[in-house]
Amino acid sequence: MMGRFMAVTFGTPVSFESELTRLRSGDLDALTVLVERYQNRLYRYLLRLVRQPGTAEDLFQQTWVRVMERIKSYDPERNFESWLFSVAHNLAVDYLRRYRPESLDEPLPTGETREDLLPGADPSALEALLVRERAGWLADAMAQLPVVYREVLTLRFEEEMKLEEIAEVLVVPLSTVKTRVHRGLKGLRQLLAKKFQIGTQL
Amino acid sequence: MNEHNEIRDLLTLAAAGALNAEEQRRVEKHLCECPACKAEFDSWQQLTSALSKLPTPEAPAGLVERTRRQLINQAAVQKERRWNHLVMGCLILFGWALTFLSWPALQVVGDKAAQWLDIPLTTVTWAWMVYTVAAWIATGVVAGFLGKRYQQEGRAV
Repeated sequence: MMGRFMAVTFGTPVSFESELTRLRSGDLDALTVLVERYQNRLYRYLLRLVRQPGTAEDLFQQTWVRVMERIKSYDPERNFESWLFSVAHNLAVDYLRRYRPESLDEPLPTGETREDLLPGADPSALEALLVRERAGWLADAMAQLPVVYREVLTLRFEEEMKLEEIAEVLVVPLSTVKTRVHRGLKGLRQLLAKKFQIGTQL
Repeated sequence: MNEHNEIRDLLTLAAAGALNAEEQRRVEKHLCECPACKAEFDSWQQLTSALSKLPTPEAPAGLVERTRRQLINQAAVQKERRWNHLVMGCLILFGWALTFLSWPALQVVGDKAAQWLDIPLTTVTWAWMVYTVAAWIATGVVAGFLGKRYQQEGRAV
């Protein structure tokens, strides 16, 4: 009864005893059902992190291989989704550290004082921008954001995770997640403001 | 003024729906009184709602099937690796058992060996001890290296 309630509430039917038992016994069909269920979300998350479709696909596959290897150590009390995304997070960070170490400590475009943001801080201008070019420019600006910030933004707004869940995925304190959301949004607005300025000059 | 600045810093998180109840209440109260903050908040909210409406990139066609095949391959590799571990473990145990068993053997043939080689029995005993210890260390080192290699292979998957 409780299991069903949890499953409905958190959308993680993996907490069903039978499904987990099947997964643990190495049932590949049960695992494939999950691969299918999470394909778009997990792929999107990895793509936002590494930005290259080929690499995102590799990491996607590696994530599921690791899930298969580690499913026995998965604690059923834990939210399956945050466990799955933390497996993907670790693989992506390993990849970035190994092949693109510079990407892990990209600074935000400039400082963070409100003065720096002034050109873009006019809400009506920003509104106009968002209405006109919303998706394309925003996606571009997201891609330019340092990886730690675009990661929390995609987890919060695209995956719609709670901050506590994000903290669990990244294994960082809640306060760090808050700081990253705050700085990420500011950096994003700054990037959009820059684009907007260039856009209006053209 | 202080309250105004504090609230101003909370507006991003407010737009992200990430404040606790107490902070949320404070922010809402302030927004009713301060048009500047309200405008700022609306602008953040536009950004966050645009973010949540970003088009989802479609997963490439056949991704699930390719992943499934990869899983099947890896399951076979894992099975083989587990078998290899077992065989290696047995071999190492067997090696250790042999050196253990060699001690009773020394009691039986030690005298004859010493006579035949024309050296004192103590030398034979010492040689045997050195051999035993060396064999144990060697198997220990081999087991360590193998373990490390398997671990690295596991991580490289």
